[in-house]
This record gives sequence, C-alpha cells and structure tokens, in this order.
Amino acid sequence: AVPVVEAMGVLLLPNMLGARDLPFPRLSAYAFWAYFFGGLTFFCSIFFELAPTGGWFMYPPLTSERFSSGINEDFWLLGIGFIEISAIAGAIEIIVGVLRTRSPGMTLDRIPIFAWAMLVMALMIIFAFPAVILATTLLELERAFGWPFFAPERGGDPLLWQHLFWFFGHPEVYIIFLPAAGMVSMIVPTMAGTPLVGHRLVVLALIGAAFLSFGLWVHHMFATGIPQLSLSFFSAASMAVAIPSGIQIFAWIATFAAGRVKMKTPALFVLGFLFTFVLGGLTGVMIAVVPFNWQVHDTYFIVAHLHYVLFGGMVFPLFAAIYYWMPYTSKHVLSERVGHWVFGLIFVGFNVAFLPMHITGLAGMPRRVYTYPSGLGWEALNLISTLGAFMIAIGVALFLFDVARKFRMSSEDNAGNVWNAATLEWLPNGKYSNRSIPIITSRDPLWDQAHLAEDVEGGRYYLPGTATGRRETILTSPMDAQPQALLLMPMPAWSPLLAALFTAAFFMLLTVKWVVTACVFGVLAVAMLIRWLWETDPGPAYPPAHIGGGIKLPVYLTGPSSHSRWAMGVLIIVSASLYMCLIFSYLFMWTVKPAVWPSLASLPGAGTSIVVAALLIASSAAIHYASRALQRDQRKHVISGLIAAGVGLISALIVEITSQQASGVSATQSSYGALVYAFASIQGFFVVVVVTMALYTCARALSGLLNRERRVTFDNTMVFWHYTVVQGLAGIAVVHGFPRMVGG
Amino acid sequence: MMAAPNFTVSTLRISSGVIIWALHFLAIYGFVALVCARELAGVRWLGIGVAPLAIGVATLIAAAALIAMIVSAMRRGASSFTEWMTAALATLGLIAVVWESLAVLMVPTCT
Repeated sequence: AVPVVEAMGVLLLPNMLGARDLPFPRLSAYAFWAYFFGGLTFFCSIFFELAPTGGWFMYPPLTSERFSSGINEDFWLLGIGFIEISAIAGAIEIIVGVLRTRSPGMTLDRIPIFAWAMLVMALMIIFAFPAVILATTLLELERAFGWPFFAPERGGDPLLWQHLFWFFGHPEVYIIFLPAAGMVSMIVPTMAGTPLVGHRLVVLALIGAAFLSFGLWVHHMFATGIPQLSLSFFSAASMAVAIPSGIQIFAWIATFAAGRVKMKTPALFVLGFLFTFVLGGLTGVMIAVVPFNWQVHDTYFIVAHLHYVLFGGMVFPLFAAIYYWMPYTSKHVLSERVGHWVFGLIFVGFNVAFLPMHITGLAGMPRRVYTYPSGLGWEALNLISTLGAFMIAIGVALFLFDVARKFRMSSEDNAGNVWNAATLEWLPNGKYSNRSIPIITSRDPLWDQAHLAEDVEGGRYYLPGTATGRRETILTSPMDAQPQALLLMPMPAWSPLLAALFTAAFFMLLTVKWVVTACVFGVLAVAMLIRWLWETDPGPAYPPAHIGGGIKLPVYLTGPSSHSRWAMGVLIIVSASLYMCLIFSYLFMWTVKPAVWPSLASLPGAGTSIVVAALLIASSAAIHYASRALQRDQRKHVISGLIAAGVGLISALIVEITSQQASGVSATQSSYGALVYAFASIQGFFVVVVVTMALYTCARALSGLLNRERRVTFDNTMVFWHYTVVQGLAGIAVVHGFPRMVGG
Repeated sequence: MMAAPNFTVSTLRISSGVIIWALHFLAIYGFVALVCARELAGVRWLGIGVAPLAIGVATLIAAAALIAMIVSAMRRGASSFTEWMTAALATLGLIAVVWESLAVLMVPTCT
C-alpha cells in the first residue's frame, strides 16, 4: 500500500505543485527499481516454499532461530528491511519536493491538500520506519549470531519486538490512510464545484493525526499484561485520534453540501469511502475501549474493523483517484457506465463480505485460522462473506477490463481537464510538465486566475524555455515559495537501476546465506552509486540564469539552502530516529530485566568513556578544520583533515569494543551484552558509511572537482559526519553513563 | 542546518503544540512503566500515590505550556497561517493531554 501511495505522489506532485519534476529524479528511479527487484524476489519466495511463516508482524519467539530455523523469516527480515530503503528514498523526495519546488506564490496556505497529505506522510515515514528497521536488524542479529534481544531465557523480552514493531505498525496505517484522505480532499471540491470547506482545518487534521497516531501503538498490545494505567493512556489517545479524522469527514460533507455534486464515478467511490470508513472508525473507537478489546482481540471482529478502515479508507479513495486522474494521464477516460457497475459490485460486495464478520467475531471465530470445526455457528456467516468476496472480484475484473480497453498513457495528448478541476496538475502539460512555471495567487488557481491555462501554455510565466539547455525547475523558499535558485536535473541513466539491482542482490543473497557473493554485489552496488553521484555536484558551471519576469537566479547553491543539504537533513532525522529507538530498547530492557544489568564494578572504567568521547570530538574538529581549509582552497589540508577525522572515528569504535570485551561483556550471553554490541554495531555501520563518503570526497578533491565554490559534496559529508559524532557521544552517554547514574 | 533559521523556527513553533503533547505522553507512559516494573505503586508523596502525582504535575506543566502557546499565537494575529496553525495544533494538543490524563482518576496504576 505504501508503494501505491508513493506512486500516486510521484505521478501527481510535480505537476500539482507547478514543478517540472521531483528534485532527485534518479533517487526516485532507484527507489522504484529497489522496490521492483526486492519486492519481486520477496513475493516469489512463495513459489519456492520459502515464504515467511511468522505472520506479517513476525513475533518472536515464534520467529527466532529456535522455532523457525529455515530461511523463510530471513526473507521477511532482509526483504522488508531493504524495501524500507525504497520507502525512505521516496520520502526524502517528497519532503524536499513539497517544501522546495513549488510554483512561486504557492505559500503554505495555498498548497493543495494532497501535497500536504504526502508531506505529512513522508515525515511520518522518516520517524516510523526506522523503528521497524531496527527491529528487523535486532531479530536478524538474534537469528544469525545468537544475540538475545527477544529471548527470555537470556534476559531478552519478546515484548521489545512488539513495541518496536507497532511503533512502526500503527503510524503505518495512517501513512496509508492520510494520502488517501488527501486524494479525497482534491476530488470532493471538484465533484461539488466549490472550494473545500475548512481548508485550514483539514491541514490541521492531517498534521494532528500524524502526530497523535504515534501515541497509539500499544493498542495492538492490550492483551500482553501491560499495566492498566499505561493501557488507558493509549486507549484515550486512540479515541482522541478520531477528532482529526472527524474534522476531515465533516469538511467533506460540508463541501458536498455547499456545492452541486456531479454523481460521476469518482464521487460514487468517495461516498462509498465515507460510509465505509466511518463505520470502520466507529468500530475502532469501540476497540479502543480496553475491556471490549479483550473480548474481541484476535477474533474476526478485528478483521471486520481493519478491512472497513483500510478498504474503506484506502481502496475506495484509490478507485476514486484512478477514475478522477485518468484524464490527466491517459488519452481516454474510463467509462462512466462501467464505472457505476464497478462501484456497485465492489461496494455491495465489500459490505456483504465484511459486515457479517463483526458478528462472526462476536460469535467467537478466531483470526488466523485456515479451518475450524463445524457446529460453532460460523458456517452461514462465512458463506455470505465468501459470496461478497466473489462480488468484489467480479467488480475488480470489470474494472481491469475497462482499464485495458481505455487506458492509453499520454501526457501531451491526455483527455484534459474534463472535470473542470482547480489545481495545477490539470494545466495543459507534456513530458516536460508545464510550458512555463506560473505565479500562484490562490488555492484554486484554475478557478480564480483568469486565463491561467492559456498563459502557461503560451509561455508567459517563468522558464518558458530552458535557461541552460538542460532540464530545470525552480527551487523555491519553503514558506512563501519565493524563487531561490535554478535546479538543474539529471538525464536518465543506467546507474540507479543497476545500483538498485545490485542492492537487491546483496540483500537477497544474504538471505540465502551466500555471504561472499552477496558482498561482491554489495561492492558493485556502491560502485554504481559512485558512478551515479560522480555526475552530480556540477559546481557553478553556469552563470546566474534569467527565468523571466526580470528575475535572475543562481544555478548552484551551497550551504543550508542547497536541496541536497535538505536531503541530508532528512537522512539525519531518519538516523536519529533509529538511534532513539535503540536507546528506547536499552531503557526498556533495563526497566523489565534489571537483573542482567552489570554492577558498577564490572563496567569498563570511566577513562574509556573519556578517551572515546575525546576521539569523537577530535574527529569533528578535524572535519571542521578540513571545512575551513576548503574555504581557503587548500586541497592537501582538506584531505589530511578527512583522513584524521576517519582515524578518530575508527579508533573511537575500536577502543569502545575492546574495552567492553576486556570487561567480559558478551553479546550472546545476555540481552545487556547484546544491546551494548548493538550500539557499537550501529555506530560501526555509520562509521563505514561516512568513511566511504570521506574517501569519495577525497577522490573528488584529487580529481579537481572539489573547491571553494564547488563544495556541496564536502558539506554533505560534513553534516553527516557531525551527526555520526553526536550519535557516538549519545551512545557513550547511554552505555557508560546510564548504569553509573542508576547505581549499577 | 536547514535553510534560513526562519523555516526551522517556524516549523518548531507551528508544531510546538503536538511536540508538547508528545513529550507529555512519553513522560507519563515512561514514568508509569517504571513505577509498575519496580513495584513502586504503593509509594506516596504528599499523601498521593507517586504515579498520579507525577502525572498530575506533568499535565499541569503541559497544559500551561499549551495555553501559553495558544495565547502567544492569538496575540501575534491568528489570521496568518503560521499563527493559526500554532494555536490550532496547541488546542488539539491540549484536548489530547487532558483527555489522556483523566485516566489517572479512573484506573488503578498497575495491576
């Protein structure tokens, strides 16, 4: 579901924002191919009887090496972990795209709701996905090397997995729902012919839902014996999150009421969505009540609820969106007549299939069973559900038939603005997106700005031609969308595809335990990445360019406004989120298993922490020195600074690991040891990454591609370096400082 | 780190309401987890159980901070996008903080 909504984002956002393309086209390509190759391999595991068998949520101890000794679960762990890379790359794209590449004049208040929804979704991804990446890493370490994070017999706790997984898992469903809600917020005003009622309230609802959804995760764990008051906080938050959803529902109803609704297929699916999602939300509030939850936990009542919110909240909007945006991307629209039948079959079929499940669940049928004994009163209800499922299938088949008949992809020759919609994606466009980039003065530009379509097509706004002869879009300021720079974009290349293929190969070969071959492909992936990157950071190769309207923009930006710096910033947030989850894991384990914590006497001496901290800080200082040297174009000093910094980071890590080993801490003996070495391993991974970045930067310097004016490559390395140092210091504070603080 | 300080400051200001909510939530959940794991639910400070007391204090602090944000945003002119969103998210945060904290009046701490 996440790839589907990211796909809609990639398809719609640039045009909707008035940009020529997303800011990192090759990163989008990499993300797609990573999902393509990784996803294909992962799903094909079923044909080799290697499909994961631990449920989508993969709870240990069932999924530990002891009870699942094959490689099935490793497909999940390494496959999903790898697909997360794809999602995070997409999230970076969307965040930087929505914030930095909008039409001039498209202030925050004028951004289309779908763009807000995608921005919010992408921010949620960068906070939520690291939790599951950490969880999968820890479980894989436990399975492969015996580090007991979740094994109770050695001080681990299976509940740690559940916390990490559901901290991802609950926001995940909002990551799926919010973009769908964003799509509905675009479709409803068009179908009603009137602006969205409560625009700012809807933006509030999106941001509010995004934050609050991070406070719900324990509602998937109500039956685990967590204290009552703790459960109650999550119960209350799970009810509170209905407020933002409710705000949006009322906004849509009010918009329909304020206008004159055209009962076209998109409107029908929106109505279906409203009915279904509201029902699902109501059962959701029921399940938020802890005692009721205890009754229906693991029954078909939950299955009914989740399908009402997911099918209602995502699938119906998706069908609405496909019918709605078909004219934008295809020569022909889909048939209205067939569309009414498709809607009828799917809507009725869905309710016939899933409404009875509320009763089936209350009648006691458990989830996740493939058969059941007769005479429990479930047969008739399940038969009705089966009939409904077939109805859905017929509806979908009819839909696919119509798509095959009508869908002919085209941007130049598309069916056009058949709905008389208000937003920029409906401007005449071609493969280059819009003929010129307009100035926006309204939330509904095509309704409020007279002659906008003809003026854009006639080249009367910015960039009617290309200023440098290359693919360009305008980089704008995040709040008020003032033009800041011209963004040059790359041409298609093989390197992102190959990098994705080799990364997928690396992960999949690790899964089948061909470690050496995997490493070969890992190196090849990095090589492709370097080939891709080598063409970036062009420096000020062009003089400031005229974009029209008397505005001249620089063609290269360094410093905090550079779009690649923003990408690094997002990556740093991802990394910090992962590390915070690790710190949570440590504190959680200390809370529930204090017995395995070491006494003060058996900790490495305080001197170690001081030495490690000093080496880390020295490493940052060396980078700072290199940065200053770059300002003075002293190439040798830049390189020596980078090398010194690398030595600092690596030695800090070696000192830490050896001191722990010398104190007798073992990664396999207890969860405490496993966590200590997990801190070191993750820091080690980051050290490898930044040292590779430093070597790459040195290569650029030695090739004459890095200097005072052309320093984005160095700056990106620098910020990620400082982050790695801070992360290392945080690790020392936790691993060495915390046990001393609580008295051992 | 990102763009002009303008953007980072504005973003933090706009989301301050929900950030305060998140910190409050983390504090009360973490505190109760620790109290129950260490079997300290019976400990009383000032005649009140330690968990309800800590939650009460945290809620008062969070509510005060949220009300301060609302007032500050209204003073600066709630018609602008930034100030409107600041006030609105702080209001949502306030509702959520109070609603979640009410649980302490109804439910025993551990068990």
